[in-house]
Amino acid sequence: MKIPISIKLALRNVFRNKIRTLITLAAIAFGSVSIIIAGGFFEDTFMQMREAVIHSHLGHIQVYRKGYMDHGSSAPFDYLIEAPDKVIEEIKALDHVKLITPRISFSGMISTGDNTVAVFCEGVDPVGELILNKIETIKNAETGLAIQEGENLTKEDQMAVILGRGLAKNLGAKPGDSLVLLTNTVGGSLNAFDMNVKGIFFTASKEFDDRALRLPIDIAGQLIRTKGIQTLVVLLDQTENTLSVKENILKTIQSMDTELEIRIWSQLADFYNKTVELYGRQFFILKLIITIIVILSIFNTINMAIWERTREIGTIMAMGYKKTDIMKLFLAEGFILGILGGIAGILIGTLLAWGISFFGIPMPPPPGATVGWTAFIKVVPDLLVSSMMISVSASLLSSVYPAFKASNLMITDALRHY
Amino acid sequence: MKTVVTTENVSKIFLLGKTKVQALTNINIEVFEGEFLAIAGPSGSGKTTLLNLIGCIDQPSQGTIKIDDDVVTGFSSNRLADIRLSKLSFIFQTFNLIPVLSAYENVEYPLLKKVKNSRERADRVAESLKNVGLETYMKHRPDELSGGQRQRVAIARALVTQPRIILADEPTANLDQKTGEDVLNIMKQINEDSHTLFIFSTHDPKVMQMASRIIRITDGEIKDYSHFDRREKKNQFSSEYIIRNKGRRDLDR
Repeated sequence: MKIPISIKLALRNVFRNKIRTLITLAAIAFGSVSIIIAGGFFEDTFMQMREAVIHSHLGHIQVYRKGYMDHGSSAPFDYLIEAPDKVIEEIKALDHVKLITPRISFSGMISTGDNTVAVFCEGVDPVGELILNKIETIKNAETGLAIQEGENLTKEDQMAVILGRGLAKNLGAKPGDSLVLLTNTVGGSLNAFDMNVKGIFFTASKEFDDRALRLPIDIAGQLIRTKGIQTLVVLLDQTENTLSVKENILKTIQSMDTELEIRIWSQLADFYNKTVELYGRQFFILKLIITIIVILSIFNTINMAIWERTREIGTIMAMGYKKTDIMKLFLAEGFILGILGGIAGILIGTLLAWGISFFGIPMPPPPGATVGWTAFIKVVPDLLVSSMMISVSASLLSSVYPAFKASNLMITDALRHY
Repeated sequence: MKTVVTTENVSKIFLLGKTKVQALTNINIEVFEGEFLAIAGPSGSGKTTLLNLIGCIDQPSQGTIKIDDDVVTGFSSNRLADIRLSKLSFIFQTFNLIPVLSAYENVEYPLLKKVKNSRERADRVAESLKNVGLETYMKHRPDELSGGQRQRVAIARALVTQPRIILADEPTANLDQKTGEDVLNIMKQINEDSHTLFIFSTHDPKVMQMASRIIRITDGEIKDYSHFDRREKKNQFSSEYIIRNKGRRDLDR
């Protein structure tokens, strides 16, 4: 294909003064690299946080008896799934579903003799939770629920509990201690069991660790006297499949006798959502600042480059070219600069991201969390697109004023220009 | 002989800060088809201003200009651009080639807006470059060409759109004597072959000698204006006549 002379002209003008163009491109690429690195850092943080939330506690999708989400907190035992086996079976058969595990939660009091504390009790299937906690998608991360002292629950455990780190500290409990767990039964009477502390755990959520106690779901059932369960936690192979599986689960549960409702992790992960929103805004401001810096740093070069060609502009206009033609010519140059700078930025940014990720950045614990983590730079297509858009728009914006000025020159003045 | 350009009481005033500068005062001229017209005068006399006004890149403060009986004054910049595109071409003292384009592309550039068929464009560019004797320099960039060659490219560029009028502002002032003569000869040749009207400004008596008519301007006013007389053309503008009158003319200055 033959390149149109207008593009040829713009391209050649871009490279007329190579050093100047290189400096301009470097400024654009620098902006683009900053966006890729900063954005990639946020992306990675979000992803790690998301996976930690999912694997420590939430799972990808949770299934409840209809009404539990709205009224369950005041009357948790009114919304039990009485015969969960069929639901479990059908959901387990769906594509992408890796695990479905039951839970029942209720509040209670624990006492070591010296201290009595209100706790959030969670009856869980130790085998299922172990699978849920395992993080396979992230380098260096292993589990969403780690054991600090003692051991995790296993299938064989009977009268054993594990305590959240904060709770254990409050209580002054350590593995091997025995304590009394007191709670209301489904029928409304009181019941208490003697339990042994088997281990102390921590998750990504400090709030959870400060209040939670976990015990085997069978024992929990005996304690509160029910065979039903409250929540079915579904784990998928990939977080990206959440929405499609959600649709399938909805279809499946519609055909059942029990009225069920579901929530996906993003509806439940309030802290995650707020963090993403907060950092998202910050990133937007950052992008704005970078764009302005790029515009300021290349505006003068573009302005000079156009000013130097004043006589040429006069000549072209004397030939019969119009103001809009001149505008187009210079905007085309700005566009080409933006594209080239953007491509350079993407290449350098991706390489740099790869280099940084090779080593990782050690990070302190985020607010509300208990452990530090290693951050990486996760380059996603969206980020590359937005860095490219910022490069192009910054360089186009920098060209608008000089191009406008050039196209509005008096031809006679332009021709006299040296 | 057909009139191509008519100016009626054309005046031009420039504002330099708060000072008004009268560049042209009541210019009334007629220019005819096929002329090789010199506008002569010392620097600052208003030659360039007059050329700019005829070339529709500037507008008079008073008076009207007609090209082919159409008024070309008082229009928007876009309308003027269209008139320039269809009827006018320029040759500049400083050549004003686009440095990043080859000789061929420079000549092709004004044609891009006019001729959409690329084959026809190629033919016309090639022919134009051949007319100025640069068919072997098509691929050269301006900085690879000598001054004379550059001005020849500029002539080819002016010629390629087949304009009604070619305006040349001091076309030889940046060239040495010999090269200037060559360039002028090429212009003269084109003028004779295609009857394209050339209007050029100069203060060089040697250049004036080549003209078929001379309009002299001093301080923005016409000092010497001879109506074109077709019957006398052969004698009046023959080389012999020029040589005979050269001494007298030089004395006039």
